[in-house]
Amino acid sequence: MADRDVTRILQRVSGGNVSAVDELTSAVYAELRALAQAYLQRERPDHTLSATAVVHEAYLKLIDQSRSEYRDRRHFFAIAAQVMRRILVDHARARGSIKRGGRAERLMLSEGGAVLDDAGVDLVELDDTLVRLAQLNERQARIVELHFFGGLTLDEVADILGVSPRTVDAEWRMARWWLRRELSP
Amino acid sequence: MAHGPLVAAEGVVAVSPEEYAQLREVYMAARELPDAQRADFVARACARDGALRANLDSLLRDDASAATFLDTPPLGRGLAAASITQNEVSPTRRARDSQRSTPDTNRYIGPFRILGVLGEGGMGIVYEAEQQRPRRRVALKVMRPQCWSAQAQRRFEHEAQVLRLLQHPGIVQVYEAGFAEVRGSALARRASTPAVVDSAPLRAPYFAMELVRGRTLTEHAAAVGLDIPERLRLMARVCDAVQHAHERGVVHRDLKPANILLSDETKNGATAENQVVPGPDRLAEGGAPGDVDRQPGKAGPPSGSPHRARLQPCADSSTRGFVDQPKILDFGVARITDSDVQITTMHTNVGQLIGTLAYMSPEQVAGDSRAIDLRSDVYSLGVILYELLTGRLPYDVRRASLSRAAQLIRHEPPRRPSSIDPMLRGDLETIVLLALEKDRARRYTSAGELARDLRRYLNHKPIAARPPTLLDRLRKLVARHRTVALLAGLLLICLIAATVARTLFGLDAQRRRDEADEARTRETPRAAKAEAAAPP
Repeated sequence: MADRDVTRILQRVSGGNVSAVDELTSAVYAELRALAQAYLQRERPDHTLSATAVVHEAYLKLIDQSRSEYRDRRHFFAIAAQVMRRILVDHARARGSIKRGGRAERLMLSEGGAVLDDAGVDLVELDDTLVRLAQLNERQARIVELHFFGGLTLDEVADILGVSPRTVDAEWRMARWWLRRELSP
Repeated sequence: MAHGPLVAAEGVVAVSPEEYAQLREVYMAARELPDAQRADFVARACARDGALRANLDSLLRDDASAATFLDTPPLGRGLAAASITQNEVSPTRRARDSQRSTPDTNRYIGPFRILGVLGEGGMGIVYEAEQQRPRRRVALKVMRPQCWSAQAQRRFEHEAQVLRLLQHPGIVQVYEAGFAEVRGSALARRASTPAVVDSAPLRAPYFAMELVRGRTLTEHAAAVGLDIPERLRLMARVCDAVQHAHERGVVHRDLKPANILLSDETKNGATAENQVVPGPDRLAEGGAPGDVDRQPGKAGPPSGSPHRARLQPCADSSTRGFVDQPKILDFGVARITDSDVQITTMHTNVGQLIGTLAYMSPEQVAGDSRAIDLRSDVYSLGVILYELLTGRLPYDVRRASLSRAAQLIRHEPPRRPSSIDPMLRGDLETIVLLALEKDRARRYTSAGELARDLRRYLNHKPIAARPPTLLDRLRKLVARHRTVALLAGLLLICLIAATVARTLFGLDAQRRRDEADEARTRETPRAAKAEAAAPP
């Protein structure tokens, strides 16, 4: 995918072209997937690169900065976070089904080695629960998507959503509280 | 898990969208209030709704706690670039102001425009950034924010000045250092001193450094399959650079393979000209370990091929472009921030800590910052040399607990390199073990000495280091096992006493026997003479 193409698609998305969103998603998907895969396959834990790095790297790689505008950037990160969510959840699901003989059961993140060393959150379960959160409060679910899956900071999230960082912080804490409550066994 | 609608954890009742919206509204209002008024407000707002009250209490409790649930994304998170404001010690204020109106303003740290994330570790995150004046790409390391007293800040600035003056081809050049003031919860929550987040301003020290793309020393050695002389030559160059810094009074204090880079000139060259950014090949790279068919002693010319063949698993792809000048990263950074001393008190990932610990000298592990001098660096060089030669660490700390690891480093002798590879027996082992002496007074006195011995070995000349004598080893053994040694000593004294006694008595007996014999022989000749003298 040539850089310029993605930049152009992104501009169409910013221009309000709804069909371009799908196009952008698939364009970004391939790149993010490659980056994330490379990351997930690294065996040694001392070469840390974060989701932040993956998403930013994809952005720098795909988008011609000189021709894209700031609002394009926001669209890009919003979509990138969505895509990262899909990649990571798919990855977790695949691992889960390999390990559990076809059933996507509880998957401890630590099984991914140092890469997935968080506090043992089941990504597949989190994904399902996030769908239910979206029914309660759409914006909170998006914040989780951007912040957790996209690796964006809360300030960046605030910027993308166009709300104050203070609000995002409060929303994030509430979303997290609810998710943890729902996810507790 | 079952997505049953009803009772979740903590006995709190699950909520409908309406109830959720209501809870959110009360929560948002409550968290804006000062503590004193909050309880009152909550009581009034939930007067007729027990479930709301229970949920709100739980939520506010959670809010007040330092909960970290979901704080780290599946692939980890960098420190938040965007939550660093522009109020910092910055010598290039003008450059910054001219940029303030651009949309990317919040992606600045100091005078540096953030372009991407290069990596992150327990101490902070490293960005790829662009400096405005002079215009160049830099690696910008932003450390964890913490509170800095005025005195500590002055010291930081003084040390930073020393680092700027440290210029050597084997040292990654520090261009600038300063503070970024931190606001925003994401970063502040990651601060090393969470208790003071709300009261004092947090400052994140940053260092703008020469941007080196490449890989670490051990990665490089493994990927290219360097032989031992080549590894030693690289190591001697590392020692030269360390020596240069030592001569200028700068101790590294955190030498480890991850801090020693081999630059890939094809990449560095390209980046300076075009807007090339790290691609997936940087993530996937590693090359093919094992045998490599190449000119001995040559790590590849610095230029030649403009494109590094991506994912091409041949020797060429791993050697080409890598210059054989290792560059040391983060010189003096640990001293400025005292990070090695604080390290055990910080909220770092234990695995990471162990990784750093493995290269620390016994005196560093003991946490005695006054005992840390250039000889600590010599020790760390010894560990790196050990690892380069054997592929292992001198102590098996990876699986040990922290306290056990510290104990190993401080008291146990390292596994002899020759026990891993018999080829290493002799001078090379002597060199490694001398650098790894627990007592810094017995180590090489400088990195330069170590380099000289490595080169003597390479040139087949006699090395300066002497293997420890039997007496030295005995002394160490005694120091390590005092009680056993004491008992053994007592036993030895008893034995000696017994032997002496037996010998004395034995001698006495022997003497008497001898005298008796002598007397007899005196008798015998006389008798014989008498016999001979007797007339027939």
